[in-house]
Amino acid sequence: MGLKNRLKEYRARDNLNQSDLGKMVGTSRQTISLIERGDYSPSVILALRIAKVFGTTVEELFLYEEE
Amino acid sequence: MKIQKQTLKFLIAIIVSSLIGGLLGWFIIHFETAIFHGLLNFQNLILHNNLYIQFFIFGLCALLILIIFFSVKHKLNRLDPNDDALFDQIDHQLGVLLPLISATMISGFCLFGITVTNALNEPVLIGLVLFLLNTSFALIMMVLTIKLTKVLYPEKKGNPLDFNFDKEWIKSCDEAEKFVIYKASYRCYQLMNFVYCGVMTLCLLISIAVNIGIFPYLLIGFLWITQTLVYARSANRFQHGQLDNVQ
Repeated sequence: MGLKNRLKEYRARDNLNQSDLGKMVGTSRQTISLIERGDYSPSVILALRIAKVFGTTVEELFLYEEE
Repeated sequence: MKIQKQTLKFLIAIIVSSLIGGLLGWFIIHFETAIFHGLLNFQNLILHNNLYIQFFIFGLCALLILIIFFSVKHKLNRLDPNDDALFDQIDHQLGVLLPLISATMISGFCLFGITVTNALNEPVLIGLVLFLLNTSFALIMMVLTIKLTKVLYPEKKGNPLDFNFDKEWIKSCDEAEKFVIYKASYRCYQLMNFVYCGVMTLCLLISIAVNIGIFPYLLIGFLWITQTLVYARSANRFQHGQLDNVQ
């Protein structure tokens, strides 16, 4: 099982760096980096906040793949 | 089937551990004099060179700390917000710097303890000056490093000289940072259980050859029980509504 994400892609689309995105969703740059690398699965609240910033849905940003 | 395999593995581990323990016990009894002299020589080596050891450890650690600190400071001055790799590099260096400062301070306490024990044969004043230098340096560097961390992570709160620093700091950490702290704390708890068990066994084995008194057992036992009880009490509290993770 794994949670993949398209955070980097969306960030590039909106020309945001990790610090900017972190500030917008109320987390540190380090946390955004951990999520992007797939080393940390965000809470529902954080996932919703990130999706809101990019004007998309959580399902569009985070892809859950069963092995 | 899996449970049977696990039980078998556990039993084999117990038998192997008993055999190793028995073998070590036999070895210690047969080489009692050599081990006794070896330990005594080791103790004398530390006692006679305690001040030099303090000088060396403090000097080396201070040098390493200053090199890393100024490297981080230099990198922070030319930090580009879009350079994620440099952010990660600085973060990694800070992750080395803080434990190194703590280790310097802890070793200072440990070696000063030896100075006090050896007060009759060693100039205590020099030891005291070294200890104060070490502790002051470590404290100043700790404060400065936390200030640097705050430059990298402006959302972090807390003054390191405030008694409530830990509380304020963790309050300003986000969910992933808290997760990292909790996971690291549990790993530490697990490892320390093995360390206490290992050190207790080592004391038992050494006491065959050398009379180490009762204090090592009392101290290790006290630390081990405290750790276990604090963990159990905290886990119990958190399971009954004091988890405080509702956002």
